[in-house]
Amino acid sequence: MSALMRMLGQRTGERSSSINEATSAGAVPAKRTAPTDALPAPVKQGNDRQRVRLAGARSPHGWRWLAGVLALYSFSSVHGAAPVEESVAESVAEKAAPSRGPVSEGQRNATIPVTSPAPTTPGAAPSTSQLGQLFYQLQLLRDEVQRLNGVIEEQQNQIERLAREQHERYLGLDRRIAELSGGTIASGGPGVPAVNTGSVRPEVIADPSSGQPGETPTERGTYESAYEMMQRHEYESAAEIFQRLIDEYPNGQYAPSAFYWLGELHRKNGDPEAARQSFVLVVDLYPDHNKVPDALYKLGVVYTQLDEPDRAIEYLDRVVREYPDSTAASLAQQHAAELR
Amino acid sequence: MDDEGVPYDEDTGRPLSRVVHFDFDKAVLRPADIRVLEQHAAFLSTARDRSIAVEGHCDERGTRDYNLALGEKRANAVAEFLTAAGVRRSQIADVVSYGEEQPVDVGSNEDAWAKNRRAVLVYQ
Amino acid sequence: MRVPLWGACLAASLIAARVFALETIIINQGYDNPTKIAVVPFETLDSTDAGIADVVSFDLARSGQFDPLPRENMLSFPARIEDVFFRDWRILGIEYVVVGRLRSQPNGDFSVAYHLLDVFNERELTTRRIDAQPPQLRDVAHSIADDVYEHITGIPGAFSTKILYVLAKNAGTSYATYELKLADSDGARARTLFESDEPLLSSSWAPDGRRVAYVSFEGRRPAIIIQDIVTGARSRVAEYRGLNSAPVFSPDGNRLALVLSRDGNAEIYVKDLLTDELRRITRYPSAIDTEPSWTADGTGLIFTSDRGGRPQIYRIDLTNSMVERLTFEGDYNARARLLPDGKNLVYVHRRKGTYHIAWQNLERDEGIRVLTATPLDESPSIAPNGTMLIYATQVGGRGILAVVSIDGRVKYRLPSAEGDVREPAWSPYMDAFSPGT
Repeated sequence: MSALMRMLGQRTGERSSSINEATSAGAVPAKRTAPTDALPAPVKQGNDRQRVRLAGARSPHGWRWLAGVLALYSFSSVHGAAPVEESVAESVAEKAAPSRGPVSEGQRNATIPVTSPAPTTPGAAPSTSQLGQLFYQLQLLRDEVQRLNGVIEEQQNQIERLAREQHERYLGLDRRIAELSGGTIASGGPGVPAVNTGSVRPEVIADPSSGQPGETPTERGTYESAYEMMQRHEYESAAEIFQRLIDEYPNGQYAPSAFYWLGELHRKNGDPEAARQSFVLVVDLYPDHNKVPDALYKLGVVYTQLDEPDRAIEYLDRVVREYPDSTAASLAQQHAAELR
Repeated sequence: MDDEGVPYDEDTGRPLSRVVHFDFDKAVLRPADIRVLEQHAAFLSTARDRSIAVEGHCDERGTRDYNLALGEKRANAVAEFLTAAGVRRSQIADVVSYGEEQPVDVGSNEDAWAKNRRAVLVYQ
Repeated sequence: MRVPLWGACLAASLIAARVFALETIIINQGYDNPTKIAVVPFETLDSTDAGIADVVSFDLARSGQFDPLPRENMLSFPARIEDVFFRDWRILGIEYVVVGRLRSQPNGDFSVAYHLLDVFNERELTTRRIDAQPPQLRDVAHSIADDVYEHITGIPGAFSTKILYVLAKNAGTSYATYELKLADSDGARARTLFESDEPLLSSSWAPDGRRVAYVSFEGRRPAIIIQDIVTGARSRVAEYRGLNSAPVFSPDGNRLALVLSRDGNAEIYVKDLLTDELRRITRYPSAIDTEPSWTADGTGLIFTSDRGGRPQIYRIDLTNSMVERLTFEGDYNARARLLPDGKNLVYVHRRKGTYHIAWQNLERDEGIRVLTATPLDESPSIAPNGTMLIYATQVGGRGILAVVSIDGRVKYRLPSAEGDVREPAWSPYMDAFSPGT
């Protein structure tokens, strides 16, 4: 059995950060085998004469294990137990096809090995035996497993890149506001590039909560105009409109965000107490809203400004504890570390 | 190469080809080559006193060390198939890769490259 | 005084033509405003071969950052600071001047003294005296170039380094020969370390600059050899069944990363050269893992793997075996090397069917930069100061070596008279006259 695992190309021993988990989650059940089962023990010098070979080398009936491998592989695939006789080209093409769509240009000319059945001499040559067919299929599948592994690696990279960009956007906005208010507390800390230092990344275009169902066009329009003003640094008018939005649509879609930005604008305006109240309202009135981790973080910042470091740390720790995956958590952690 | 004592094609009576070819950056045996290897396996299964070495080669493109490993992968594909088809492990005396170091055609064009991406069975 | 000096210079320049027979080098590009420097021919009072100034000038010129003044444009040939008329050099637009003199000792050794002068500020930047033996003349010149380069750019020079490469003749025929060559960084003074009828490849340096490792097929199978370049002594460190390839010394020189297939397929191992203990590093059945290269701190390796279907560059942490993929652009990225800062990577990158050397910063997400333009570029090896890399390429169907700066702006080819030149490896620092040693 161990040799079959080897042929399927599952990975053992070596750990591959999150990519590995992604692969082991589905594709090949063989991956779940304990590493010791699949590979020879860590290399010791001296027995280099011995070389691990395929199981087929030991079994005169090589096709049997091949069939086993294929059955195993087919079973694990989306198709369920595919008959072994099924045309390889078709089955591989089917499996390969869905992965092509969502994989962007990073995936480029995904060579599906189906194209390789090269020059055959029609008619004349005797047809390939079942063993030959199985071996051919096995090779293609092994190739395909590796190709899919590559696709996973590339998607993983894209996800990480997107997450990083989002984080940087967040920091960029945060810093910009802080800079304009003359405050430095909310800046991203050392090593974080400011958004306007040669970066070509798109600016923040909208609050994440926009575009949800149930909004009224006027509400959305009001929010967007306030948001744009804020981006144009017209803080006073922006604050007025955020306040109006809250007055007119207290239960509206954008109320939590409006409270949040009001808090932010108060803070810039040198009124940490008013800012504190706004942030508290976000947390208390809309505990499930996606602005809560940000508001909690900002409470930590505001309490720092109010010279209450203990309270500040309390809030900062809460962000890290309750929203460990949020961008606010990493900011909070950094800020808390500076306080301690 | 001396054709004496090597297997013959069952239909044509000509010596079997001892070279199989590969696509770029691939080590997948092509179906036509698998048929040829099956005949080699059949021969070796009856002639248990005969043994072979398998050599793997690449074209000149890409890096030398990677090609050395790729040539090995190609030679291994042949050896794997032969053993799966009943050839004894002991009949495969050696599996060795020369990477891109020993081209049959030193040209820098598609034809030359296609010829150079190969595995060779050497009867001993 | 003036006449004998001219005479000495003339003699020096005649002899220099021999020392300096590397005019086939082509500088393809350069910087817009290279530093203007004049390396005045060193004063000699006897027939001792000079040409030092030419070698220094040539070293500085091929960095692309300097524009040395040709000797025929010099208005005077001072050998001492007090003979330097700064105004004259200023008129020529010269920013720095090097003056020096060479004296023979009764025992046949010689000594060289020189000064590096800042023309605009009319001050001396450095002065040094070197005692050496006659065969070391070029070494002295390279050492002076290193010193001048460092004082002006702030980066240590790497002109005193060596390069290792393979010269293949009649490859692909039954009368092929392969020579492992050692030469100065400018290609001069090449000598053969080992010769074989079978392929040689993957040459690399130990950090001590004394041992080299390479793959030899001399036994018709690949084996990894370590050779002492001073004594010539060779030892076989790996001759396992299957592959034995891509040896690279660890930064401390005590371990060797290598690629073996003794367990079935190409995997990376580390061999402890003191205890001979072998440790397997990668575990990825049926995929190729090869071309390892150490991180500067010796705790990790970068390598090429086709585990994702196509060759790409990965990094493995040797302490916890975590693997991370580093390259995502293109479908063929291989044979990577890290710059000394550990933050920049160069590798072979395929673009539109051709192979180039590409550069990538690992910290900033700004994509890759292709540094070379010829179609079959491979084997990048970085100078110890991280400013340039040497690589193998083909011109007119013949393998040659070329050098490109890490920013891609300076490019030149090393002359080669015959055969295919390939598999270059740039040595660590080895300036025997370095002020620090």
